[in-house]
Amino acid sequence: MPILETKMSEKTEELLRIKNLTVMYNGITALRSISMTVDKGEVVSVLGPNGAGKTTLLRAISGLVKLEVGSSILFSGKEIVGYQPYKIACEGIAHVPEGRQVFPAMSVNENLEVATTRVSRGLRKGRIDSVYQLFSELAGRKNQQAGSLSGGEQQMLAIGRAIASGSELILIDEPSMGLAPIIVQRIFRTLKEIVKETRLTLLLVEQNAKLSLPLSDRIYVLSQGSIAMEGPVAEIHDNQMIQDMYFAKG
Amino acid sequence: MRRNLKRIVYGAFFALVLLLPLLSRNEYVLFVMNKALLNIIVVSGLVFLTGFAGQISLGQVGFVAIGAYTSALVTTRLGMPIPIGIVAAIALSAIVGLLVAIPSFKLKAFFLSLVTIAFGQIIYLLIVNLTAVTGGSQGLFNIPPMKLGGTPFTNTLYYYLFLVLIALVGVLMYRLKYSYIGRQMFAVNDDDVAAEACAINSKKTKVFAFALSAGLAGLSGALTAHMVGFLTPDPFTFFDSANFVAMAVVGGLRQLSGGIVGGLVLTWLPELLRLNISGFENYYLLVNSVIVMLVIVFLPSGLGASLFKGLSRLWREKQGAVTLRNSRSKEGE
Repeated sequence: MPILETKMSEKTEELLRIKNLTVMYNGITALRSISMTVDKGEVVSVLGPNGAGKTTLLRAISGLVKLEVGSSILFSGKEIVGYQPYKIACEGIAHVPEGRQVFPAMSVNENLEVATTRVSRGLRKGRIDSVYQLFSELAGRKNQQAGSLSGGEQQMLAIGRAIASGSELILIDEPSMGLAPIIVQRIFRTLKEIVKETRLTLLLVEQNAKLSLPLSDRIYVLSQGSIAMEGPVAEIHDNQMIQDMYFAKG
Repeated sequence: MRRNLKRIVYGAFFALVLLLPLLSRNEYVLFVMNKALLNIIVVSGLVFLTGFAGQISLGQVGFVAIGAYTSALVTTRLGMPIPIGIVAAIALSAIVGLLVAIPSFKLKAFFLSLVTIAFGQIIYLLIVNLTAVTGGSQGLFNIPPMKLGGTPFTNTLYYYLFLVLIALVGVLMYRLKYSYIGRQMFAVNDDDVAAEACAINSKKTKVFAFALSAGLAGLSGALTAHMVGFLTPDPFTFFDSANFVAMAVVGGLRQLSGGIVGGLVLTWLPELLRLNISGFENYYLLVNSVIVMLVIVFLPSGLGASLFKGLSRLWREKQGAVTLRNSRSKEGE
């Protein structure tokens, strides 16, 4: 039996459309007229050096930063600019932030329970069980305080929370940050498994292109708050600049 | 054996609670006990607000005052029955609590505590200065006592009434803590941004916590007014708000028992110090404060948590001793 609902169709359908997205922090432009799309069931990675605006992009989609006039974010055809963060989450966008942000004083199970706010009561337990199937490490620690988990387990819990929420789009910010390579591989293996088996759509921000590219369908490269490059993985992967930046040896 | 010991300890505690008015005929003891029970209601609300939802209120006594004066005015000036006065007190306190919650959308910790201190001060100054309504510093007198069959409540009757109310508040708190709302409260407490990302409306959660804790404080205030029979601004100062916070912290902010233990201990402690330490009558508040500081430093999760931890250890040790004795007797056989 599949862990989550299996992919129903391969037909592409636009889930997220960002137009002219501009964010300013105290007069400094963090994102300048960003336009991008994410289709249903697609994995899109955002690459770029530190300070390029990758985290700000995810925070803007989640409603955590103020957008400039003229910015537009359509999710399933609905304009979500101006929505409160919780309302955006209710619409079906889950955010796994940089640094995990699990609820440290709550148990693993309670962390997953609170994530199921938008899931109907009868389906909540099933959703949580599916997370335990994906991350068996968490299953043995159901009643342990989330704050006492290792960094890798906290990342699994943060991703698990997004999965349990039943959201259509998951935004993941630097899942590999501060984790041991073996744990990072484990997390990406599970992400691959989820993507393969479900219609889940991921927008992934990750510095480690070697890990994120094999998982992705398309790439956006951000530089100084603007999109410097975009295209399918194969095309971007062969680009000399990307090769130099992320795959150069020595 | 373990279950028996548990039953004996809890049974003895509940028997003592139920039989206290019969064991002690001293009206002073009953009055202080009633004051402690009223404090428990306020502190339980504060535990919910601060321990569960993570919001600070250093002006909780403002809600107690609103409840006390509302019920007093509704019954004395408007001539309404006491139950209506109490319901009005709860409703008005909760509505004001709802308004006080608004700054918590933007403010946290230190800044929010300043806003709540200001709120408490505003209420205090209104009581002092609105003499035509509140009687000002002179006070408000002839507040009717609760009655049973035309006879005013005695301290014993108030005691049992407050016990029933505390039981109801306890059940409400328990249900809330282990409900979905409770989980949302703890999520907002831990990290309100992450909670919003989990589709939790943190503003609504904070408003609910403020309104509920204010409503409970209002209930306590209304009951105080009818039990005491008069009101002056004296028990509604910042010191009293700080004392409620101390009760919540000493009892244990994350425990349901925190309100009960904190309310009981910090109502009785100054009284016991004042009466029993000869030569220290003038310093009993100082000794009280030092004890509070020591508890906070050495038992940061509160007396409630430590008490239950101690009892659990006692059960385990007893169980261990019984197991050991059984195994030895088997060996002997």
